[in-house]
Amino acid sequence: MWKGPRGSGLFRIYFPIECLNRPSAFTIGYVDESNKWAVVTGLLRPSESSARDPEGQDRGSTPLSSLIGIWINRDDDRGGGGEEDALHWTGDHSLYSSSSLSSSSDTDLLCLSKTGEVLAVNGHPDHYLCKGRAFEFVIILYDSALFLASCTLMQLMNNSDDDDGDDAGDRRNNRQQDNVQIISGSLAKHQTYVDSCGSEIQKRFAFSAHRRRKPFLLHVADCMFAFPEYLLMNLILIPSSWLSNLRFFQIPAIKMMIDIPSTLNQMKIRYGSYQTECLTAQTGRHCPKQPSTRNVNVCCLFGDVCLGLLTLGFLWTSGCIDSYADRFIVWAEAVAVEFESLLHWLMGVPAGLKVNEPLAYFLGHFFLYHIFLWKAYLRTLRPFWSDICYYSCLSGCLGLTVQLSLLQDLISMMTIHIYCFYVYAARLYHLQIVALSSLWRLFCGKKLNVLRKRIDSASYDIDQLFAGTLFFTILLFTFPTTTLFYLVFAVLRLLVLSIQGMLSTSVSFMNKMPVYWFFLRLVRPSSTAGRLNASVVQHEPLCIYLQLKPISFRELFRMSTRNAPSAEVLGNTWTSLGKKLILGELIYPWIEPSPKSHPS
Amino acid sequence: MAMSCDRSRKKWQKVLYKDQGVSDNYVDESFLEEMKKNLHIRTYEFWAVVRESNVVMQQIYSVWIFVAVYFHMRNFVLTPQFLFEMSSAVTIVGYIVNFVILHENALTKSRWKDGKTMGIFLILGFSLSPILMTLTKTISTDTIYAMTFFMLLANLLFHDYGTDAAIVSQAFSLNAAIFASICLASRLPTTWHAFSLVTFAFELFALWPILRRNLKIHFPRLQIILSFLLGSVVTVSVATVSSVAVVVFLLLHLFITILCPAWLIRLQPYKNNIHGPWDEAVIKQ
Repeated sequence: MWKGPRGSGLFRIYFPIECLNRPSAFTIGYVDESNKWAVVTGLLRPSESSARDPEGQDRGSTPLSSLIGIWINRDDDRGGGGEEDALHWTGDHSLYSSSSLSSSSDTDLLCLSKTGEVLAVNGHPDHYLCKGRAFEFVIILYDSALFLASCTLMQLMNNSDDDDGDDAGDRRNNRQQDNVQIISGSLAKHQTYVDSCGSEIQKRFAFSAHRRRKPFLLHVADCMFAFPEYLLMNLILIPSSWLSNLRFFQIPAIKMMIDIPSTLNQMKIRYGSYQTECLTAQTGRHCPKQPSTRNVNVCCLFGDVCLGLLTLGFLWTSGCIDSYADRFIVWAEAVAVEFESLLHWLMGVPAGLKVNEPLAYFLGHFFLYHIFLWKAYLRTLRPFWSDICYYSCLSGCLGLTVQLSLLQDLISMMTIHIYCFYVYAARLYHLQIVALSSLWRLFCGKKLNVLRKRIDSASYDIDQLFAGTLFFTILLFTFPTTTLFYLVFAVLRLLVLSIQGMLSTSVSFMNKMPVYWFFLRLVRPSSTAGRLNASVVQHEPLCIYLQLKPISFRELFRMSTRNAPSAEVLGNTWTSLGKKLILGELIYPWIEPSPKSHPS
Repeated sequence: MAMSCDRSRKKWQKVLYKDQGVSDNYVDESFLEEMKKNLHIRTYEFWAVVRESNVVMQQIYSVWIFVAVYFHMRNFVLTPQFLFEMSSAVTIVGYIVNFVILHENALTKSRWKDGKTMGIFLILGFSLSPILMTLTKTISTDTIYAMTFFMLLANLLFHDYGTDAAIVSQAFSLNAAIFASICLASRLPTTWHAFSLVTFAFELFALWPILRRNLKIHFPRLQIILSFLLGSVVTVSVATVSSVAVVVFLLLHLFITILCPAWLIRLQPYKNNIHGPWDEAVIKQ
């Protein structure tokens, strides 16, 4: 009497849907008793010569693909009832001596018939069968061809879902991932087995889930990409990545200098980190014959460069560079004049608020001097400005992302005076707040105990009290003035930052967009499977058809934003922004942890 | 039955571990016999209380003198030079008196400390006076007066009158007074005015209470004479500013000196303090 699989729980049997109309044969595949699944990856017809033991080849090496059962097709010539069929099979081909069967694997044979009966057979032909009701099982049908075609994408989705780590709402997804991993892993192992076993066995395969030859389109794509890839790799990418890995660029000062202007940062991301992508391409070869990640990178880069060249061509031929450059300079000077009038307004009676006159006068003139310097700078820049604009469009050769980040850099250079004012005002405001809180404690006769982090009562001398009160009063009455200046400049700075933020968001979006997969999805949807559909084919016994559908465009779009570090990690939530504004701490949105890897 | 009659004749004990045969809500005659009422009562004598109330009055005199001086300076009756010289002279005299009273030997250390205090104060006051003058130029006078009023009130409330109440905070009262003086000083026309007013306030609120305390310890009978002197000075100076203020001042004086002690004594019979074994234990050293 067969024991059945150990333990309780649902036993999953994966069966390729193409096998449903194949003749009867032995099933080969992989079984995992502890996790309760069995995957059938091929059908093996028995050989005619009785002396040949097809399992003998496996026995020497690690048993990769083992015999796990018999597939009985009733429409076949053999016909007859199920149990007798099984007996008939095992008895007929008695080359499978009992010893070889019992020592072949840990499990016993499973028998699948077309009507979906699972029969269990022990190794010995005269030991008896029991109908497979002793354990709960479910048969899952899968498309082996589709799985093979699109295993790269499944791998990517596995990796990116693993990175998410969001297990609360994704339990169903995890189950699906589980299925996918099981099937893909078994198919990979089967591929290696088929590649390694002899040609006699290969001839006997009634069905085998392995890829014989590469699909034509992918072959074409590979050829298409080979020459530009060679060019790009040897002429541009490898030297630039060697450059960026030089010791010189690892010095913190130089590193900061490269990280802050976003153009250099973008170039470093695009061209400098090629080495790491190369390495992951080598180790990521799980699936047989998947499009290498190098192709994917090259495609992305190409798209970028093409768009950049288009923009460049448009800007150069339409001749609007000159007029825009001129208008820009005029606008910058108008902004400087507006700034002056703003400062004069602040020095007077702004919005009816009563500011402290001498302090406002002092601060206002201080900033006015800076505006004067800024206007002088603009005046010297004016003759060269249109030439600078014209030739900076050349950066389109390196890609549209580089152009956008160059624009971002230009904006930040043009608004550097706003940044300066903001920093001055913020530092003054912060200093005043810190001093006020400390002096308030002195006013109440208390003191901050830094060691214990609590407020203690303190005994001060009379002169300390007097000096403290004097300074407290002065700071208190000048506080509204400082606050006003700080608020005005902080608002201006936030405005500039929001514009820059929009630009950098679009740049990072373009960095991560999977162009190759979009292209493939349009051209050959069957190899871009991303969704699993489970539909019940038969209720008794339970038989589910796991269908692979092509990935939706929205999901691809989401992939491009998936690996961005979340806002909490960056520390840039709205509450932290508000807190920094109120306390007068400086806002640095461009310092973020560097992304470790790219999905495409 | 007979057993319970026996038990009830025995004295009822206030314990819970014995079954004393009585119902749960039984109230014995010995209930509350350990309670003591009004243990620490003091009998007040009217004139003694009146005499002690002059401590509060003296601080009030200081406040009124200060405000009166401010109004005089504002009306250009008092020149800052005169004020500065007078207050410096009085300070020096007071310092010598303090020195004599305390019978201190002429140790250079505390002299040096006092000299340092004076130096810091003068330098700070003088250098910050221009800032102080324009500090509240754009704030309306009414706001300033309201702030000054509340700050001087805080000074009176938190001042150390010789008791050890929890509300007493010497630093806070002094700081409030200095704050009030700066508020008022910013209303005056020139730097000299501001500096002299702040100096005067400092001497009045920081140095005078020290001398007062020492005088009280060594010459208790001098207090009444001092109070009369100061009271008359205040009346005269306030009268020249406004007559309404004098009336208010005299009424206040009457209230605190005569009415409040009488009120206190009249309320004594209503006192009902209960002490008993339920009080918290007080550890006596």
